[in-house]
Amino acid sequence: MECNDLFLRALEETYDDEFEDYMSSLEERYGCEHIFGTKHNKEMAKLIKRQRRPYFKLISSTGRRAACIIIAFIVMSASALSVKAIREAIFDFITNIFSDHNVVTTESETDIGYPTTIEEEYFISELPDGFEEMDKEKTDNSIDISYFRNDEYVFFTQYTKAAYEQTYDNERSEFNEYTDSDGEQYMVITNKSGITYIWDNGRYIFEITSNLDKEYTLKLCKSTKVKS
Amino acid sequence: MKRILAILLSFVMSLGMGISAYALPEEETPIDIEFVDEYSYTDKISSDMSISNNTATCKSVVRGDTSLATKIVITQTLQKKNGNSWTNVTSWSKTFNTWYAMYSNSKSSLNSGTYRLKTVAKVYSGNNYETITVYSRTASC
Repeated sequence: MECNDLFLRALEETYDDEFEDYMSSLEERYGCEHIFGTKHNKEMAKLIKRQRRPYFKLISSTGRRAACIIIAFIVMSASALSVKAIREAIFDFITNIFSDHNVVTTESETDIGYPTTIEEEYFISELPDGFEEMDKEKTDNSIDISYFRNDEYVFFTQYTKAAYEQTYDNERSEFNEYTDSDGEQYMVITNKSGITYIWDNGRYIFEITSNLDKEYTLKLCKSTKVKS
Repeated sequence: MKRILAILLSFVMSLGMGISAYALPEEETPIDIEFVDEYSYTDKISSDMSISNNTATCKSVVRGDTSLATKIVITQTLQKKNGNSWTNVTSWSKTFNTWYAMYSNSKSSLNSGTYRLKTVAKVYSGNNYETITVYSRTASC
């Protein structure tokens, strides 16, 4: 600190001397004394006065502070553009969470080895007596079947992994995960209408939705087999 | 100072443009929903389409809340990619007077190109309804 002060003093003295010499040489050369204008002197006085104020350092960095705030705002805005939804992984499933719905899909990098079309059709082997098939719709990628027994229902869905993408309400529904005693992993969606189990058997993605109790619905999941 | 600020702003804006460019394809074929209302009556919706032998098979499934949904109107539109936009090829519509709906259609003799299925579901609860739109993944022929 002391060295710094000494240096500044020395610099000031040197400059003052050199300045005086230079000004004297000018006077000698041109035979007149240089006088700074009133406006210039006022501006200089103003600058010096400003510099002596205790909060000068704070003011002098205002531009930089403003620049930092603007940049931070732009970076945050740019980041917001790229974030569409919160992504959450449950087992092999990716859930894109929006304000009122979730889009459940699979990780595209893990499709290798999975059929790209429905090559073999599965069925629920332990569907309770009395349930009747009401609807069956299919594409090369998926099959949807509904079964009804009066007010009771079972919806069975089989999808290829690459085509699997379903949208669920998330305001009235609860999303959980469950691993059964055999190690099978399920995404579980529960709401007022019933329960949905979603799982990947290594070939296809399946869903069973029912208003039967959750243990019985799980039993239906475990009973799915390939049609012979 | 101004120069530094200008350089920094240019850099950040360039970065932002890069991010926007990444987001654009998702907007072309949204995996999510263009929704007008909230999911008040709808539990689940899906839109699936496959193409084989120049024939598109289209399937839409909608399930409403069993105690709230009373009627579902599904409109399917097969769309073909045309540059950066999508043009409608054909449409089908059907009303289901119940809380769930499964609806399938097919369109043959497709020209080569990339297609998707747009499913628009109006899910009613009495006189009130919500409109939900979902798109299938794309398929080509």
